[in-house]
Amino acid sequence: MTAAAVHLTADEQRMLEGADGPAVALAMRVLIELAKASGAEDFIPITRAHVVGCFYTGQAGVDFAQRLIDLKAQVRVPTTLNTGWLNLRNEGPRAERPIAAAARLLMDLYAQMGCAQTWTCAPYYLPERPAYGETIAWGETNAVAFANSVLGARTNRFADFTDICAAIAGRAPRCGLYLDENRLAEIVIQVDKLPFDVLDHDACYHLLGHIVGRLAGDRVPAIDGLPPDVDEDRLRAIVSIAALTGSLKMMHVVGRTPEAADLDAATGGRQIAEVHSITLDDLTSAREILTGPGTGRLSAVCVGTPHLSLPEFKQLAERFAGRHVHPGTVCYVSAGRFVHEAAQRLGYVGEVERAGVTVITDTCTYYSGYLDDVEGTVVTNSAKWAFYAPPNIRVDVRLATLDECVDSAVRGEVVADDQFWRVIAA
Amino acid sequence: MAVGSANTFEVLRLTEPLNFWAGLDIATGEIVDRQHPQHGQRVTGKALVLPPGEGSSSNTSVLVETVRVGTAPGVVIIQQHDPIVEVAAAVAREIYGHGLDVLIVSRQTYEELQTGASFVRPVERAASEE
Repeated sequence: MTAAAVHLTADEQRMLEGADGPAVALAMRVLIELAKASGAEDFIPITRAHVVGCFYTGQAGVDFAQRLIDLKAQVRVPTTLNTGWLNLRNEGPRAERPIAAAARLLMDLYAQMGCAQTWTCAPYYLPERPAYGETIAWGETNAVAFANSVLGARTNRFADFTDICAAIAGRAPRCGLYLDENRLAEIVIQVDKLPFDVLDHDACYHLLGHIVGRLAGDRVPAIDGLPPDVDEDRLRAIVSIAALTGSLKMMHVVGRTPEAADLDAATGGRQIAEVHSITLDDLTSAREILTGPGTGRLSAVCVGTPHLSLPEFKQLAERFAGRHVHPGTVCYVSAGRFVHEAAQRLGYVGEVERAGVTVITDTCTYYSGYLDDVEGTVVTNSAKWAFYAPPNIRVDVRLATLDECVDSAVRGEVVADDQFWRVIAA
Repeated sequence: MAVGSANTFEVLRLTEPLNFWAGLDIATGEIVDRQHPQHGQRVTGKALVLPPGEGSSSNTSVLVETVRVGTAPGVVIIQQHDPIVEVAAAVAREIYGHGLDVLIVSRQTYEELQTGASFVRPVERAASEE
């Protein structure tokens, strides 16, 4: 069985033949294989890229980046970089290990290709975020889902190798979420049974996202019944965990997200056969799944997965003001460099650092060695962290509200007294 | 590409999706995910039949790593196009000069390929590859 040929423009044909250099030709060869395997008939120009291949997963990733550098690769569109394996600014606990050298080299190779050293999993907080309808090529599961859902930009989910090839060629196979028809909702998830005081709590959106991902799988859901002014941080909480429990790349929130002025707009006017209704019981069971057996002993508090937004940084600074992290524990907050600098100017970084919080940029606590020696339970407000960390670094985790995270850090013990949990368990 | 007599491969069929990143020992080619039905089997040199559906996107890197260290499957067999696997083959070819052989087969052939059986790659395709 052979794939249908991919149609190339005259320019693309010349790129494939090496007119723009051997690196562009290599990128085109890989993208043509991706296009064939994805059922794309041709390519679409992209305006920017976000690359995840800069995270070290093995020597092959380094070999590929080195090969591109040897061929003098440069990105053709503005390109940002996802988190790396280590914190370049303050190399942290694993800097002495042999693979740290390879991880650092890999990050350096991507910088040499002309990518901006953003090192963040939240590229939508960088200046000049993608516009509605803009065609981009992003990697990183949460960023892809945020761009499609909240910004109305268009991207498929790029991964190692294909992300940098799209950046070098300035092209992506035209398929998937670049096409109008694939952006319409296929299932409806109603949340009108959830009381207002539950929907008014940040933690609700982490639990909701866990459920949405499981129900939607790789389909596009329309969530109906959320408040029309639900903020970006809450939408982000939904997509960042739903991208892991399912492989969500786009959702609509009726009356809130840009392609869902009403339910008809989200579905394209089609009748949707599969409709789910979320109950308080669903939220409670999601919380149970996301919370480990628990030893009761606090080892660390981790906030900022995906990397913190500026409003979240402000909330954290307000809650830590005048308090101090207990000497028997550690509290890590992860943010991108850009948000970190803005938070510095606004005094948030000073406030949390005076409280004894450790602020980390460039990487994430669930793979960078910060928690290698901890024993006991990690408290986090992020469903994504709670989902990812146990298999990655074998820690026990408890999903908590932001207030509980701060109280746990200050008291040096697992605090789980938020009214929210009683409300959803009622 | 398989070399020598290698148009015949022993079949290893994955009956459930495998997250290669967590579940495959790249150095030995052994499936080390204890929860996986094929735990303990080696993929190296086999006709590896993958289950349908989109695998983890990290599987691409792991497959390229197996090519690098020489523990790759002899041929990967799928029933439908799979960007994860086909990109791995393209990238391995670019950096190591030899790919990962990927074959898309008919539904009937796909279903007949059970672990332990022999798979003979169609000669015509083998001759046209590299």
